[in-house]
Amino acid sequence: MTHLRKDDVMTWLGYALPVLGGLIGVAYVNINHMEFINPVWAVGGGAILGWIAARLIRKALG
Amino acid sequence: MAALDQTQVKEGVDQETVDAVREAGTYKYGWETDIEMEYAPKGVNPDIVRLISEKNEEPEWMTEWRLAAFERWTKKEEPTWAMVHYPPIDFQDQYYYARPKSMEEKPKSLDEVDPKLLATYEKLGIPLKEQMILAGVEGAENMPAEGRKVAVDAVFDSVSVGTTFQAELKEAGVIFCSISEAIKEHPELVKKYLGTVVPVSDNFYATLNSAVFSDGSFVYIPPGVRCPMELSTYFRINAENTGQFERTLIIADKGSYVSYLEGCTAPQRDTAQLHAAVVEIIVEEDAEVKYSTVQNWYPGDENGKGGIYNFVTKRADCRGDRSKVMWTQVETGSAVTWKYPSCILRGNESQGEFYSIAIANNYQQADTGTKMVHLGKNTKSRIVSKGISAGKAQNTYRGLVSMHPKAKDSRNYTQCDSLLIGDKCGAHTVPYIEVRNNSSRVEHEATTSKVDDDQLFYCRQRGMDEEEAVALVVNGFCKDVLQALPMEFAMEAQQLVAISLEGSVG
Repeated sequence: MTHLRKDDVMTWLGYALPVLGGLIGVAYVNINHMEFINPVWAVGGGAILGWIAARLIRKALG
Repeated sequence: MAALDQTQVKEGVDQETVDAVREAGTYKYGWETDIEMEYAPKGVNPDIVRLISEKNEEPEWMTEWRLAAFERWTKKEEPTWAMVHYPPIDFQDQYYYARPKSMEEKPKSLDEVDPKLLATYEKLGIPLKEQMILAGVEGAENMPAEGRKVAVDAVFDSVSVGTTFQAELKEAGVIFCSISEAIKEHPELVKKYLGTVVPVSDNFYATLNSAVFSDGSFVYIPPGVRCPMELSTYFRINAENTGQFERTLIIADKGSYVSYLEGCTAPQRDTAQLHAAVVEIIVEEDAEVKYSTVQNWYPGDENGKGGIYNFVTKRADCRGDRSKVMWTQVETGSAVTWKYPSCILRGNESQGEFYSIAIANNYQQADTGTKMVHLGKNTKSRIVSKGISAGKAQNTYRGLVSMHPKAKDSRNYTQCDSLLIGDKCGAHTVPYIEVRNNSSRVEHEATTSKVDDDQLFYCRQRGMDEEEAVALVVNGFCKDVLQALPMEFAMEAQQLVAISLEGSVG
């Protein structure tokens, strides 16, 4: 079994967190339908927040 | 089914199976309870109004209120604007009050209720005995009792038979009883709220109801209380030639929450019967009310003979800021339906939701929809209406969305879909939209479609018969609304959708 390296985690974070952010955006729109949020904004916003989070984590990990 | 009656049943096939097959495709609740009844004389006049008031042992102010309503009713004309056609109703040729003789003296507890009445509700799947509910009936023994507890107010013709879990609800401060009991026990609350949401002279049928309503349910949820169980009312019409006029009053005080369920059935008869009900809901600041209905009155036979004429006025008044109300209805029964559950969004940031499935088969006619009246700032409403027409039925969605000048930044979303099964039925959509300010947004989406042959073919290839395939397609079409129903009703509604459309294809 290969060990998970720090570089691998850092690489994958950049892809995984924007996708996760987008999914959370979709879920939020569906759960709070009375908020009348445009799903395009929710998915886009979620993805951007995920990307920012990934950048911050990568920075923190050096 | 006649063929089945004549067929010799093979050895080894139990009677239950035979009965189940015989019942399939027919109205399941069309049987009658053989019970001795007491009637008021036929017709409606001030004496009948006084008699109903007297039978309910009401105080003088209530009798006067009823008489004033009757006076107004005599000056009103029956509405003709709805897209429903039925023979003229002779309002003097029916009984306005009918109660089982055994209910002459109001039972103090459910143990004193006539066993025939209890058996009726048991047969309908509504066990009234609290100990039975707690013990678990009909295979529900594996589920924890807490999760299934539903307090029931059972109304049989003109009287409330009994209300379950009253003591437990009282501990939480919740008042749940029949309206006749509330008029006697809590006159201050009834006086304060009755007729404030649906005024006496609101419409022809509401005015008639105000004059002759015999019973119904009353709910009061005190400030900050989350009702510990779901509340429900079950209406059963049993007596022939008798109208049912019930009144429901729900008050959700500040920060409270309640989920309320309503069900109804009637025997199968060749003559039409009248049902004119009024439901008033008052929702104060931060309170929330969910009101769900599964309407399964007798719809008449396949030739349009008999059935219930269902004329109902339901309205919720979101008086407080951030108050919420949600109407969910599944309309499968009654020959004629005339019903528009509405929300008055008075408080700022208040919310109203309306989810509806209206199924009309054979000669049924449904003119149903909602009204969302936005008065407060930042109010929001959502309407999802699914109409399904089959046979020679006519289904109309009629809705009003009104944004008043002070309702700044308000939102509404309306989705109105119609599905046609066959080529002799009709679907009509009549939306009214009024926007009187320049910051509100209203969206309206409407579709009309037929059951797709490709979908049916796909399902049939997988071994389903045509009716099963239609039921599957229709359940998919209705899923947005079915999801909004409480668990107790969702399964029943899903089955009802399939049963209501039996015989609609082929």
